Amino acid sequence: MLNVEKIQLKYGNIPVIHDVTFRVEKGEIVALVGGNGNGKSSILRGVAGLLTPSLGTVSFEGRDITKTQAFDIVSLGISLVPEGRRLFPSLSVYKNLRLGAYLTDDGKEIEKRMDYVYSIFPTLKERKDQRASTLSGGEQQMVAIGRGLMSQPKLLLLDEPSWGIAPKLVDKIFEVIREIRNNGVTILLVEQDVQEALEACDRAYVIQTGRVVMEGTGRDVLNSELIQKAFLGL
Amino acid sequence: MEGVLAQTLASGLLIGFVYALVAVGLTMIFGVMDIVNFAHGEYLMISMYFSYWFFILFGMDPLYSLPAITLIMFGIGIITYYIAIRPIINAPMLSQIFVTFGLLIFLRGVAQFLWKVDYRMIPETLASGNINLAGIYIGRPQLVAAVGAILCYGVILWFLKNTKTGMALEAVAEDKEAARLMGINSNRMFALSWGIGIATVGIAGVLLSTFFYVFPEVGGAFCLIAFVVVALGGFGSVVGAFLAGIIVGLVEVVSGYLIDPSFKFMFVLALYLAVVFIRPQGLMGK
Ligand SMILES: Nc1ncnc2c1ncn2[C@@H]1O[C@H](COP(=O)(O)OP(=O)(O)O)[C@@H](O)[C@H]1O
Ligand SMILES: [Mg+2]
Repeated sequence: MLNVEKIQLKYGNIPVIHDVTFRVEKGEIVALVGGNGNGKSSILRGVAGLLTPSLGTVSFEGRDITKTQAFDIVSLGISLVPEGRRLFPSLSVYKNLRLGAYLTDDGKEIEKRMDYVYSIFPTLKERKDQRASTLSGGEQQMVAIGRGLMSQPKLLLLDEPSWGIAPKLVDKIFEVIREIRNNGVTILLVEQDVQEALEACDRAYVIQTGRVVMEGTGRDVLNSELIQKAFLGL
Repeated sequence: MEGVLAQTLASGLLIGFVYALVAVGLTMIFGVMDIVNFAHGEYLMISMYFSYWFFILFGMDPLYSLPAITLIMFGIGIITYYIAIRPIINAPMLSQIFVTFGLLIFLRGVAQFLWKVDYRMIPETLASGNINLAGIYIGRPQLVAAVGAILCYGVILWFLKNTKTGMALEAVAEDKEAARLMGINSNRMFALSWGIGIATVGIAGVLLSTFFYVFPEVGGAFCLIAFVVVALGGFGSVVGAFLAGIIVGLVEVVSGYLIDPSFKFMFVLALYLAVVFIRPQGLMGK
């Protein structure tokens, strides 16, 4: 479904991603794991069109999207839930969700998608008229994921869904991620919470200093010496 | 004595609504794209000339030419964006200041060249005359301008809060990158904010032309006031600009009445300084 081939990504003249190749198949949960500053977010930004690769190609369902702009990529069926959530803080939960379906004008369709989001995150329905900035970290993450789902993506990109939320909510978020996948949405996620991510995913890539240093099934990567030593300190 | 004060308050309130309308476009453009339009007053001047010439050449009353001029100004705003602003979106702030300040000099120069420095006035409009409201004499043009400004402001606020495009404008103002992830083409929203911003200052210009002289430098004083209004209301806040416009109108007129009209700007600027010291983000700013 998604094929990333030998991409290089730069900020200004400084390359931060070198020769990265990976793929995501339909129906999978794929994780990119690695420590802070290794380039995981940059890769997702590259896929979503916020950064244009200077080398290599990104293709989605057989179509080359390397140079496609972010606002056009959404309409192809890719949605990024960005690092730090990036909600519209002074707008209500409802408006944040509505903007997620910006490319749709069909009122019934929007309502249907909104009901789906409320069904996975019932608290959001109670809080729909509240400003996004007044919510707790966990609730904000729910709005961010819900907003990402409102465009009805085929591929959902999640950047650190466990960031800044209460530990007991982390399990719940990952449960929802699996539920979303079971409803037919393919997922590419990035995490620093290596253990959670590797347990939840089908396949994983370990990213270090802008390169893929290891790939395999979630379980294999989790049990690898590299992960055990470098991330879990075992 | 009391009657004079009441009359003064009324006229401050009325002009305050117009100030608010001048400032709404300025604050909106700033809010959506973080660019300060130093030439904002020049667009007021242009629309006042439109209103004047529509009257002189076609005998059209400003109140009749208002819709057409609003559309023309909307178009001028969009064209300004694509020609002058779009190339400098990612440029350093100083370059942006040079460009909009350059626009000010350019537009004023064109007006001076075309129409000389003469003061012109539309002699008689549908809005001319006075009315007596419970013993207070109010100029009808001022009343019409205030009502027009309130209506226009109401439409803008409704648009921002209740339409998808209005929401998208607010989204771009809050987080441009997140807005792009929603599928919003921020470039179009920037253009739209210029269209709306210049159209609203255009409406203010037409309304002002029913009781104010038209001359190439007329934008200067209004632009200065608009900056005070925007700073007082909070940069980027449409609601703030409305409240602040009224406050500035009242302060200006009341201080002119109590102390001396030639000092009224001094009090407006003193108010601005007080805001900067006490609440730098303005009344409704974040
Ligand atoms: N906007 C930016 N400008 C310049 N450098 C950046 C920017 N964002 C990230 N970087 C750099 O790119 C590298 C990778 O960052 P990032 O993709 O955020 O990593 P991760 O998500 O794995 O923490 C880091 O060295 C970081 O400093
Ligand atoms: Mg990151």
